[in-house]
Amino acid sequence: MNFSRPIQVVTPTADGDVLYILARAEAAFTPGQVRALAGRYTTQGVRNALNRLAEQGIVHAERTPTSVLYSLNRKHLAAPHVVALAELRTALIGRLRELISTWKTPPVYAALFGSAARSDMRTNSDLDLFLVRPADVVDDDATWAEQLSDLSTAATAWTGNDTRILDYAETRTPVRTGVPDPLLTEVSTHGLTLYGPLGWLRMQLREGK
Amino acid sequence: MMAVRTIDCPRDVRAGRLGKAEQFARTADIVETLADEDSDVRDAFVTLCVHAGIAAADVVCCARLGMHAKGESHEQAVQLLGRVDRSLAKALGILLGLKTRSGYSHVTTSGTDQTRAKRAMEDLMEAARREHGAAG
Repeated sequence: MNFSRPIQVVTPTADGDVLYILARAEAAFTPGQVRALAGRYTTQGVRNALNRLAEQGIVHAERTPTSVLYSLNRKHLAAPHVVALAELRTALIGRLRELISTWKTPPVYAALFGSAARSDMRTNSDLDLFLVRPADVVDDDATWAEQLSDLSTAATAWTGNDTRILDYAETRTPVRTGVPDPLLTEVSTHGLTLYGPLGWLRMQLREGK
Repeated sequence: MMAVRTIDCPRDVRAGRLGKAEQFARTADIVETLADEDSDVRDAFVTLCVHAGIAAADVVCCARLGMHAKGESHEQAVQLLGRVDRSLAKALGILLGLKTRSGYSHVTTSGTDQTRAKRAMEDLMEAARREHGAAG
């Protein structure tokens, strides 16, 4: 799936993208504003989608003297489901955090990074996970390996995307080696923390300078 | 309820606001790191957190509403952000609540407030990066 356009999992049409925008803001929009936020389609195409959805009652259309403003009808029976679809990315992050927090051998730090974190992913993009293995856990530790395998299997089942785990030894970190690592800059800039203190990465970057 | 004063924001405005948010957040981090004692720099640190949080809130509003709050009204800025995410609005409210004490009063910010400001800024920064990426 593509977390930037999550409603595509049920409909590949403009209607899905339009619903995504309306679901994520308790506000009313003109078709032009929806088109600008979607970054695709024509204003007429968006207007048609909005009117189709208004016919179903899931979108509320309010006529003003100058335009028609559209918003999600949050009282509609389908509204909670639409909102849940729009928030699939948040749901994934919640599940990843929950799973990692149950580990017998917790990581020093974990983050989602790459296109899923930057939100520029495609449907077939990998899910990139960054996990820092504690210094006292050897690289062939059975418990650690099983945790990573379970995490990979679960994340792929939840999303349909291949999971790529970067198993990063704490002994490799700039604080220990004195050598900067550009990968950590990427994780720090775009990564979303799943486990461990947010300041951990920043400390690594400072020490590595 | 008063109508929220807003300004439309195209992508370059959103990117510019994110750049400033990152700048403030990075500097807050440096200030915190360089201080021997946290209490030496609490007010400066919190003030930087506030500025980072305000800019980050603008990014989130730009990405999801196509506009951000305009003017000095804290209440309106929180109200606008609340339309897209109530927990982020709460984080912004915490920062704005600390703004006067840390930046303009003679009273020193407490350690607890420093921790609250840091957490609120980090939540807003994470959301800003995420939403900026998602909006393309």
